[in-house]
Amino acid sequence: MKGEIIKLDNYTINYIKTNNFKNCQIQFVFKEKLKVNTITCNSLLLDFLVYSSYNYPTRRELRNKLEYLYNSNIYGKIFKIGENLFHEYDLYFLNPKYCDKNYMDEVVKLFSEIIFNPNFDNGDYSKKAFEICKNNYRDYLISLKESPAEYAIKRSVMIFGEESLTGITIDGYLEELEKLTIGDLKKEYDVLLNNTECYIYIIGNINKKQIVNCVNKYFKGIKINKNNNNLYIHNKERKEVLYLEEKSSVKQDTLVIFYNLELDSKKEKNIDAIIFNYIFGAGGLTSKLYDKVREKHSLCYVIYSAINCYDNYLYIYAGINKKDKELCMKLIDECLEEMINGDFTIGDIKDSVKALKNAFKNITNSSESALNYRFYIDFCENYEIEDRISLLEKVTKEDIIKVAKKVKKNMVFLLCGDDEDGNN
Amino acid sequence: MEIINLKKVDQTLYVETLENGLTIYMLPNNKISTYYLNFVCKYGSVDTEFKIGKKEYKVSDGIAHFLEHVNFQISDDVSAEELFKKYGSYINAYTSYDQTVYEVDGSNNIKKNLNLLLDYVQNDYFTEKTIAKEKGIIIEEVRRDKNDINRRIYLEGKKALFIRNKKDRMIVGEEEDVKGISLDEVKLVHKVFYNPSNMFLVVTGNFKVKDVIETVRSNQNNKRFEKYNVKKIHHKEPLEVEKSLVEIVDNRVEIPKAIISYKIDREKYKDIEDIELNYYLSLILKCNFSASSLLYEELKEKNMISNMRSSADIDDNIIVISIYIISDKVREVINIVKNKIKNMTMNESDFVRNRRASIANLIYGYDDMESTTCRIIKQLISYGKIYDNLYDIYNGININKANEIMNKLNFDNESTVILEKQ
Repeated sequence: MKGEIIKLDNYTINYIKTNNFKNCQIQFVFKEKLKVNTITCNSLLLDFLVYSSYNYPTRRELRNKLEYLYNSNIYGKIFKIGENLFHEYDLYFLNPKYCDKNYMDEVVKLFSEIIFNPNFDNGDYSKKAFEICKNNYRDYLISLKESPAEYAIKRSVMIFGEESLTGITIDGYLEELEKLTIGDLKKEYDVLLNNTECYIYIIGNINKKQIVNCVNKYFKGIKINKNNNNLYIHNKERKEVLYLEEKSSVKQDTLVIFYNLELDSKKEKNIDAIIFNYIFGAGGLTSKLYDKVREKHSLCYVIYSAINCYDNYLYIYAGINKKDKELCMKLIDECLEEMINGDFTIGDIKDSVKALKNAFKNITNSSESALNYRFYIDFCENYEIEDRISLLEKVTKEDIIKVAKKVKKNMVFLLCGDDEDGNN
Repeated sequence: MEIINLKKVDQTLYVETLENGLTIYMLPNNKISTYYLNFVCKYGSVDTEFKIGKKEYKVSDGIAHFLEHVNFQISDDVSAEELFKKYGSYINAYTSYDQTVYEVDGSNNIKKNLNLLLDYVQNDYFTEKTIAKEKGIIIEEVRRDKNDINRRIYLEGKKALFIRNKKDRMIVGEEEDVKGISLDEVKLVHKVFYNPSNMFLVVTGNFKVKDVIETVRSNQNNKRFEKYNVKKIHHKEPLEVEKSLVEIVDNRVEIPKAIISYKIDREKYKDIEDIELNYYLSLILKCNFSASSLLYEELKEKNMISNMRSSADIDDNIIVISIYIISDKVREVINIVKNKIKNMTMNESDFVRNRRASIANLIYGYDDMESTTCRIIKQLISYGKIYDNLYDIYNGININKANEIMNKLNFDNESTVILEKQ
C-alpha cells in the first residue's frame, strides 16, 4: 500500500487512505543515534509516557478515557536497527463512521496529550507514576529468566555482539534502572523532542482534510535533527567457535547457535537471504532443519533459524534434551553443508517463492502490518511489496549458495538443567 | 444455503450443510488478498471416555493432540506440508480441550487447497512407524510446555479446582501418556470422531462462496463415512473443590504467582443464556480487577502487584471465576483479592465505558481473519450456534441485571494455588 506524502510546517505525514479496515492507526516515529548509556532511560521514558499524562495523571484515568473512546489504544515500543534507536508511539482507534461525531478529534487530542503533555511536574502524581513505571520495568527485567527460550536467545545476542552495538540489549539494564531519576527522564524527553528525526504515519478510512486539521491543531512543533547513522553493524568472526553452557532450573534444554552472516547488497539482504533461510530453517514444517532434526530424528519439537540482516547474523534455536546436543549439532552442520553444496532443488526454490509471496500478500491484510512494512521501506532500504515479489521470482540456485557460503559459525550456547540429561 | 447478516457490523455469513452432515461457514472479505481455512473436529483433550452403542471406551490422555500430529503423515513418504507447499500455502493445527483444528493460510488455488485439506485430515493412514516416530517429538513438546512457568500455574490451578473434569490435565498429555499411546487408539478415535457430522469447516478472507461449496460438495460426494452412534462421557463436576490450598516451590519462579479460583453453581442463572452470562461476568470482573479498576491502581501504587488478571468461564453446570496474581507480596494480595471478590461493586460510568469498549472490540475483530474465525469456532463449540445479534447483546446489557447477577454469586467453593521460589 503506497501512501500520499503530506508536508506540513513541522511534520511529514505518510497518509494511506483505505477502506479495507474497520480500525485506523496513527503512528509517531522518532529516530536517533543508539547509545549504550541511555537505552535504559529511553525504555523507561517510553513506559512513562504511555502510562499516564499531565491531564490524565493516573493509569486508571487514562485507561478509562481510552475505553470510553471505543477502546482506543495507545502503545509505545522502542527498538534498534543498526546504529539507530527508534521510539514508536501508536494510536489505534475505530473507524469514525461507527462512532460519535467528535470522536476523531477526541482521540487525536488524547494521543497528542500522551506525547506532548507528559506527567512531569505534576506533584505526587509524577512521583507515583515514575515509581510504578520503574517497578513495572524492574519486574519485567527480573522475569526475563522465566522464559528460557527468550532468555537464551537474548543472552546469546549479548555474547555474540559484545564488541559492537549488536550486544546492547534493548531491554536495558537493572543496575542502570536503579539509578534513574525523574530528572533523567525529563532530559531524555527533551532530546526526543528537540534532537531526533520525527515522522507520522496514518492509515485508515479517514478524511484527509480532517486529519491534517487535527495534526495542525494538536501536535506541537518539534525541532528536527537529521541523523545519518549506519543501518548495518559488522561483527567480527571468531577464529575458534565459542562454546558456552549455563545451568538453570529448566525442564527442557535450549540450544542456540549463532553465525556471522555478512550480506552485501540490498537484494542479497532482502531477497536471496530470505529464500535461503526459508529453505534452511525458517520455512516452518518444510525446512531442512525441521525435516532432518525433528521429523527424521525426533530430537525436538521446535527448531528454526532467523536472520538479522542489519546486524549481519543468523541464529538457530532448538528446544532439545542435553544428551542429544552433539547429534543435534551434527545434523544442523549437515543441513548447512547441504545448502552450501547446493543440495536442494529448483522445486524447493519455487515452493519457497510461493510461500513468501503468500506471506507478503498477508502484509496488507492488517493496518498494523501494512504500516510496519511501510516503515521498513522508508527507513531500512527494503523494497515495495510488488517489487519484492517480482525479484523473488528471479533468484537462482547460485544466489542462494552464495548466501550459504557466507554463514560462519561463531558461538554455541546451551541453557540446561543440572543432571546429565539436562533435567532438574 | 442459509445467509446470516451479522447485524450492525457489515458482515454476512453463508452457511451450507452437506448431505453427509458437514457444515461450511463462509465469511468472505474480498478487500484482503488471502484466505483462511479451518477444518474443525469436535474432539478435544477432555474426550477420553465415550460410548459407541452400549460399549464404553477409555483412551489415553493426550490422544487428541497425538492424532493431530500423526494426521499430517499421508503415507510413508509424504506429509501434508509437502503437498501444500506446492501452492505456497501455510498449514498448521492445534488441539484444545474440546476441539482439534487444522488450518490453511493461502492466497491462490483455493479449490486445490480445500481438496488437500479435506483429504489429508480425513485420510486414515496410520502405522506403527509413524506412531513411534511422533512420540519423541511430542515428548519434547510436553517438556517445552513444562518449561513454561505460566502454563504451570494455570494447570495447577485447574488441578486444585476440578475433581472429575479432565481440564486438570495437560492437553498434550504427560510423557508417560504419550509413550503409552497405541496405533489402535489412534485409529479408533479417527474413525469415530473424524466423521463429517462431527466436524465443520470455516472459510474466511478472499474467496467465492460458490467455489467453496462446489469444491467441498464434490470432494465429500466421493467419500463414504461410517456413522457411529457415539456419545462422549463427561462426568458431572461437583461444586466442591479438589484442594482449597496448594503451595508449590519452584525455583524457576522469579516473582511469586498465585491463582485463586471459585466454582459457582450455573443453575442459579437459568433464565440467561451462556453467551450473555459470560459477557456479564467478564464485565463485572473487569470493573473490579482489570488494569482500569480502582483495586488494581491501589495495589500498583503500593507496589504490591506486578500484574493481576481475571477470567470467567462456564463449563456445563459450573461457572469458574479465576484471579491470577503476580506479586512479591503474594500472600497479602491473596487476602485483599479474597476480600474484594466478596465485596465487588459496579457503577454506571464503569459499566457504560466497558460496554462501549466491548462493542468496539466486536467491530475491531472483523478486521482480522484469524480473530473472525476464532469467534465463529468459539460460538459453535461453546454455544452450539451462531449469534447474528452480538452487537445487540452487548448493547442491550444493563447495570441492574449486572448487579443482580453479581449479588447472586457465591464464593464458598474456593481454591488457591501459590507458586514461589524456595
